[in-house]
Amino acid sequence: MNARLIAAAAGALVAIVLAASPLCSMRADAAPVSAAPAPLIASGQVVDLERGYIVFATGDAFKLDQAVRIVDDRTGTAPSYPIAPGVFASITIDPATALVTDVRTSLDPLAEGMPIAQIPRALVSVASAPKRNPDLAPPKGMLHSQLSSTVRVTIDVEVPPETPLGDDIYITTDSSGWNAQAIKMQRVNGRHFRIQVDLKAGTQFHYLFTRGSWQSVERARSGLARDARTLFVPGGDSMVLDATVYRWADIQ
Amino acid sequence: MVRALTHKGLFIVIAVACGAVMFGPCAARAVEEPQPVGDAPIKVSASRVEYYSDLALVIARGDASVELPDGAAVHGDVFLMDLRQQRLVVAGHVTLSTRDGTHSGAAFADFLAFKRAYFIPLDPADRWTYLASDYAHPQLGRQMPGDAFFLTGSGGHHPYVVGKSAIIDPNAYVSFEPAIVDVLDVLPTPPLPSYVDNFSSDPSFGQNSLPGATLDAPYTFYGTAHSLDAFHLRYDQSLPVKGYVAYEHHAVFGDQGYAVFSLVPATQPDKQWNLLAYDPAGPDDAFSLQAQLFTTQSGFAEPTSANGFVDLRLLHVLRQSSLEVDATDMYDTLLGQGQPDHPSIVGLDWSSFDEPVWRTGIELRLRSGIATIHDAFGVGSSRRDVLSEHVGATAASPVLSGPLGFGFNATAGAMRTWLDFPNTIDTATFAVSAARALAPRVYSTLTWSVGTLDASSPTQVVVSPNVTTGLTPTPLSPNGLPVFGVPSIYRRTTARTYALIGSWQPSPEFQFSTTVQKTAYSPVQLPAPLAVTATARMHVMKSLYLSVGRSYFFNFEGERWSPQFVLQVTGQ
Repeated sequence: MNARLIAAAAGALVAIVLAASPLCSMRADAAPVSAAPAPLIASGQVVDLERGYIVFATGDAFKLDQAVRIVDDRTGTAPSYPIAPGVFASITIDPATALVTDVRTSLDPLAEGMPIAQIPRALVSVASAPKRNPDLAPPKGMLHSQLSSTVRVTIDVEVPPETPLGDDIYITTDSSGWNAQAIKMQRVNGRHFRIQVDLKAGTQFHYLFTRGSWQSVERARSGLARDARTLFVPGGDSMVLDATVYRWADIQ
Repeated sequence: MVRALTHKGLFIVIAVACGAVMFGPCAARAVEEPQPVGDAPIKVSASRVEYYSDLALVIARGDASVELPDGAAVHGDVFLMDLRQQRLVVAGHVTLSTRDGTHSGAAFADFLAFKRAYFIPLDPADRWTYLASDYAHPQLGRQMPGDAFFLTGSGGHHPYVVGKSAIIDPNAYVSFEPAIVDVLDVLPTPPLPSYVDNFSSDPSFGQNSLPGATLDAPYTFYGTAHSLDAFHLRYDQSLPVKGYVAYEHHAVFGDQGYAVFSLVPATQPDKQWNLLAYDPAGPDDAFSLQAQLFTTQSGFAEPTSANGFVDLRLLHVLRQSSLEVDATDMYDTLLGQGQPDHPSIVGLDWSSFDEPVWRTGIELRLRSGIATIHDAFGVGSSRRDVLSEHVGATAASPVLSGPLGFGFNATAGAMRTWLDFPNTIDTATFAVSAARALAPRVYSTLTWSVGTLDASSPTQVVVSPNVTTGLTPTPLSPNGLPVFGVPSIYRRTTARTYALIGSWQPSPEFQFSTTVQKTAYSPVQLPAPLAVTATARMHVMKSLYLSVGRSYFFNFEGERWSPQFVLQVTGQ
């Protein structure tokens, strides 16, 4: 009897732990519909407004009330611009009917109410029962944006001994269309060059060292053409990268 | 005892439950990895199609029609393609047409690298997922990423290209027909019939076969995943007619293989036809070809003169060295006028890698070769065929720390070449440099180099671009050393060069460098100037940099300032 009670308690505890797990409880599907009659407000980017629906960039569609009021968020009057894909809107949903009663639009993002993705799934118009898709692997490196931090990247390169002393060293990149003189380096001493560039965290590009032209691009140690190098800026304040050029294409 | 065991059991159950939560059901979920996206392009047409090269975005608005690589067609109000994420979205009054039917909806998104497309139908509203372009069997109700249909904004950037239709290869290029190109972000061109922007990560697209020019403005009018065609509007102060048009074609085979052809100038009688090719025949072998044809002809009429050369090389990599076979043919004339010179060279060259000498830090490279040279001294010479052999070595020290923060390094090279008539040519170079950081981001380097040429018969020295002769001109060669086309008349010549190089980069936006250089020839041949050169490079807008440079000569036959500033605008 005692053991049964303990097993039941353990089972309940497991259920609680499962339910509270941060890894498995992020889905909004299971969120209960609020019983309170207070309207819900949410905002996001609109991708379509037609056939009695307003659809957001999350893929969530909401049925519009026949008496829906659509106004510009700033002026409170009918928007002077077309409600084309890409505009932003905050919506007011009546939880009792799951209909959108009010739409306020803007050309800039709105932070009013909750994000669209957090609206209880019962209020979203979906004909089919929800199912999971296999997850998509995240990108190998994050992609930089205007919000990314700026990282000071220092690139040091050692050049082969036969490099003419009067020559400059450059970096050619795919982001510059493989311009042979895209980034000019500073001579540090007889064998080393250096450059500091500010790059956004998440930046990735391919590059090679040159002496200013594609006739003098770097080669592999064997003398064969080499693959482009890859630079990825993961983040942080600064980053130092050491490289070695073994040969130039135009010098035996 | 029973109670104790029971508590222990409870602890184990909880631990197992926590473990199951942490590593069980969530970790077991399938994760799809991205796959390479093929070369099949995406075709877009709309009232306005914009390309933001800085943001790697293509945005089309107004009756956007899209043809996908799998044959599906999508129509909507707005199209957006994120080239970095290889994701496209069509939104607003969407019609999806496939071989399995037509559906209307709110938005369509295709994650090309995952072969997964999402669609929001509206009769009634639902969520459909298409896997691997299987449009006949949509997966109903499946969850979608929160940003599945997000339309990235242009953030106030100006579009680089504007047109009405575009062909997009997410790996390589965007092609517009017609196109208005925003030059340097300020100057829109008149409508061009087409324009291609190639952003491939394959460096073979960077190869070029055009000679230098004062100004070069490329117009890429056609491109695919493996080719690029461009006209170059050029200005060259050294030509009688300074402005001209050149044409260049790139073919890229992948795995570093490429062929580049150019005709320059295409609009003047004296033409240069260039061909460069490189083909890796395997992990340890590569062919390279360089051919040039020089013609004088009006338009494309029969030429009045034609000469050229071709150089074919095969490089084979050994364990710590490489072998190179080099065959060169030069044609004095190709028009059958008289008895033409036709020098040809075939040879074999061996070169070691830079190998460390014990633990000294010194690197040593050895090389040797043998070549046979036909028509070495022209058809009128009594010596038509010459055998050459050479051995040489290069040694280089690492940068050694010295007193007062100085770093020192030295390089020495020597080569002896034997010609069988007989002649012996010795070349030697020695360079030493001392460098010091004067302040943070301020560096100075003082160098001294000396080069000597010793020839037992100095007027009969063969100089050739063929590497196997051991007489290849190198960029280090000053006048008096074996420079192509400038034979020495002295048995022994020496060139000494002193240079002081300073560089300063106070911020990534600005660089300044200056060089003071003095060269002295012994015996005196051509005037050797003392020159001061200064170059500044600064960030001007977006990712564009401007370089400005000029030289001043002391005691150089009355010439003082270099003829012009060097101005260069480059993207970074």
